[in-house]
Amino acid sequence: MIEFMKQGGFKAPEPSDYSGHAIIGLGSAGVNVLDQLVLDQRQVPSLYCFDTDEQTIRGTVVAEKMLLGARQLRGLGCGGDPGVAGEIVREERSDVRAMLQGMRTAILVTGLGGGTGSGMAREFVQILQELGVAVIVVAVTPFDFEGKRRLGQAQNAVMEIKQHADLVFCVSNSRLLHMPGHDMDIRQGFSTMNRLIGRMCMNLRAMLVQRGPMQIQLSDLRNLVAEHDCGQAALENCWVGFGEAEGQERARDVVDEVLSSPLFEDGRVWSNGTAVVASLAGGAGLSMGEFQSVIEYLRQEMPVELPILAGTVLLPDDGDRLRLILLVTGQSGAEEARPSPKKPAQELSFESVADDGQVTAQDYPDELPEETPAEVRKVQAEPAGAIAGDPGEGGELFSELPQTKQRKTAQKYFNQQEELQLEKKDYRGRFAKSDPTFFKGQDLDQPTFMRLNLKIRL
Amino acid sequence: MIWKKKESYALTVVDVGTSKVAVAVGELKPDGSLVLLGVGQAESGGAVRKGEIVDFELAQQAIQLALADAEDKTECMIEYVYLNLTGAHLEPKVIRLKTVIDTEDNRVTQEHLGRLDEELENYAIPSEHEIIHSAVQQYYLDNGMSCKPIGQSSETLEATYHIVHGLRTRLETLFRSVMELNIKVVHYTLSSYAAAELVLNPQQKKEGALVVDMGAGVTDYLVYVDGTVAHTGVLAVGGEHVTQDLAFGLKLPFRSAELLKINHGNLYANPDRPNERIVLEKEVNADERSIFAESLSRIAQARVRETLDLIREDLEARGLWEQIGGSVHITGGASQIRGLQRLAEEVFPVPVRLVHEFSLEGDQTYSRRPDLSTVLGLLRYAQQYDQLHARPSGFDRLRRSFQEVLASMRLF
Repeated sequence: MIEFMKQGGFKAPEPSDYSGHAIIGLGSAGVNVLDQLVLDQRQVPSLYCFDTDEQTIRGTVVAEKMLLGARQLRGLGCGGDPGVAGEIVREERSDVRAMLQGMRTAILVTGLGGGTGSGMAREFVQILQELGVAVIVVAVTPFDFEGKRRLGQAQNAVMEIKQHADLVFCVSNSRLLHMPGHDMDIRQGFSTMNRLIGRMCMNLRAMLVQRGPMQIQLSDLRNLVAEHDCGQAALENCWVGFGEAEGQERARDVVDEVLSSPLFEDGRVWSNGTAVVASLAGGAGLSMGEFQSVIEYLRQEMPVELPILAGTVLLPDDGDRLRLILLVTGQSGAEEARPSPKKPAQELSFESVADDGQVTAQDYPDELPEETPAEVRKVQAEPAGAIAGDPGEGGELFSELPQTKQRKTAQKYFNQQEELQLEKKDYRGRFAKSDPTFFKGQDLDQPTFMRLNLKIRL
Repeated sequence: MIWKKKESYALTVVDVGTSKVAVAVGELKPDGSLVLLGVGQAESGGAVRKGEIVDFELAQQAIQLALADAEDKTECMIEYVYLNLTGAHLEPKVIRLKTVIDTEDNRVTQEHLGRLDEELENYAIPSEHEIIHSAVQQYYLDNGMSCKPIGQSSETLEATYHIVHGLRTRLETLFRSVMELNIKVVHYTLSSYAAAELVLNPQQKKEGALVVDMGAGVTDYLVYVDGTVAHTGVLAVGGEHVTQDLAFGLKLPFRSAELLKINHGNLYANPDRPNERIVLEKEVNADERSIFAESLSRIAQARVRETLDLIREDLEARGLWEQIGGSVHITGGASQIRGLQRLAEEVFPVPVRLVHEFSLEGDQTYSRRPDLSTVLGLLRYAQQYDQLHARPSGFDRLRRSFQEVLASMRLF
């Protein structure tokens, strides 16, 4: 049944939409993440916990939980032995299956290196696969100082998981050490990490559940990660940053916050990063224009030019707040040098749901929200001057944008990005019958001003 | 048409282009000079895109109309024509071939030159391609370059050829479209050659020059270095792309955008009047619309600059700019947009000359028609070919006779 939009904005998914899309915490690390999530948010639907440690299970605030190996281990955990954990799961397979029945997608959060997480992850992924569930694994890998054994176990686990899961993100605990103030309270450190992972899972899930414009599909993510995957059991293939902001400047503030996220302090993130996934979460008030500003500002402010896969999600309880989560994918220890000087206009990939051209009333508001973006940053301070140019400058029409942070009152600009997804294929029109003209990866049939992201006043 | 009348010939050339089919008829006088009799035209109507035929029947209709128009204007019966070729599928190459001189005294003979030509046939090109043009750039003997190798002594003979190969099927389509109208094709050439013939004099060819022919569907270009053709290229971007960009960016139908471009098109907006608006032609049942002049310029400039940049970069990659002592000569329908001189001067490292006027003998109504650059150039080319054909000499001998080309395409 097509539900018609009331007014502007997009429809946020109801909690009931999430049934069938689970976030599963495995092992104490996974359970901790989920706990943190519940503590932060008011209501998070469809969470499940599995562990072998009775204390963890008893203490968790997650509703759906299961203690595994109660009989064999007597609730004492598997003592850091993944083999044991694996055995347990295999024995209790049918129970686990029963619990996981009816799911469509699952995000598995687990800590690797220990027993339960490492041992169970693979089994769980396999079970889920059998049930036809799409699986994303978010794995937390050990600190460097935890020793070879744990690291080795983690690596084995990663390799095994990669074979079966649709997508695997590995976030390293070592990031914590690189945070400023890493001699902070241990609990604080971990809770920061947990919070981050939790957010990431929420956003990932929302990406999977939500239908609407600017959706990032699982296949996109998969391609992005697979493209840069060296195939080795790397313990770290993504870095996460998070920021939230509210108020008038929220579009800019949220980007500033994200980029100053403690986990991005380490320069290695940017030198090893190969792509960026930006997921913007906002309430019903989130407009296309705002999304546009966020992404543009992000692109401007990122220390390195990387391709961005961007999308929006609607989380139910966001109110006025804008949240941006940034996943930088890459390979730690990657040899390739990153180009440091910024070059103009990288590719920006916008995914629209309606690739088949079908747009339901539910997806699109009747007209795009009237509110103009709060700041349109990429504005030339003096358009007149820029057009004519000084003879000395060669009169570049679209020369380097001014770095000054002056605000310009928003004018009604032709927003190419909005148009892009609506008429993605229309520019072919005249050239539909002929071969496309590709040159250095660009489709020359596509209007030049579009490819250069020039703003056109109408 | 090779039709004798008082020992004059009439030459007819046909340019099947993206916006129109043009047929030019000229009279070749006994003294070798050419007088333009008239040009017939017909709109291509979508049959040709980016210089290539996409709708065969429609293209034939257009060609027929254009031929009829030309016959009307010139009172000639057209039977034989020259064609022009273009298309992004055309690939230029410069190749170097070598042969050993095995005669007594190591004297170079005509036969050796012929042998090199034959070797050209063995040159590997994609199977679906055909070499449609080849010309010797330079001969080399042991002791260096030679303009007249025949009769000299040398152990080896080398030659550099400039060749262009392209998809056989595209060429067949073009030829068939004309031949099925009972018109015989005498010969053909590349659009870029045609334009160069029109625009350059021998002095300019010697100095070195770049000729750019900006058409509706494609932009052809050609580089002369030291009197020989060093490089040719085809970019499948033309005036229609500018129109399409405008249509898309300003949300106009194609036709309106085209009119806008022709009437108000300018690559640079007036800096003193940043908010200048242009009122569009009022359409029936539509509100009057106006657009910012700045927007028009921005969109158009982006596209044209990109196109010129691509050409410049191509020459840079081949190290040709250093060898061009002369200028860039730009012609073609799409070169009529205001502001092009200035933009081109910004893009190219050598002086720029816009050629919007041709020196012709004969019907002067066409002398200020840069959009006819290709077909008029083709006429010039036909004139030269006709003369050479009668007296084969020099380096412009073509490798294979046209009949052979047709035979290989199984059209004959």
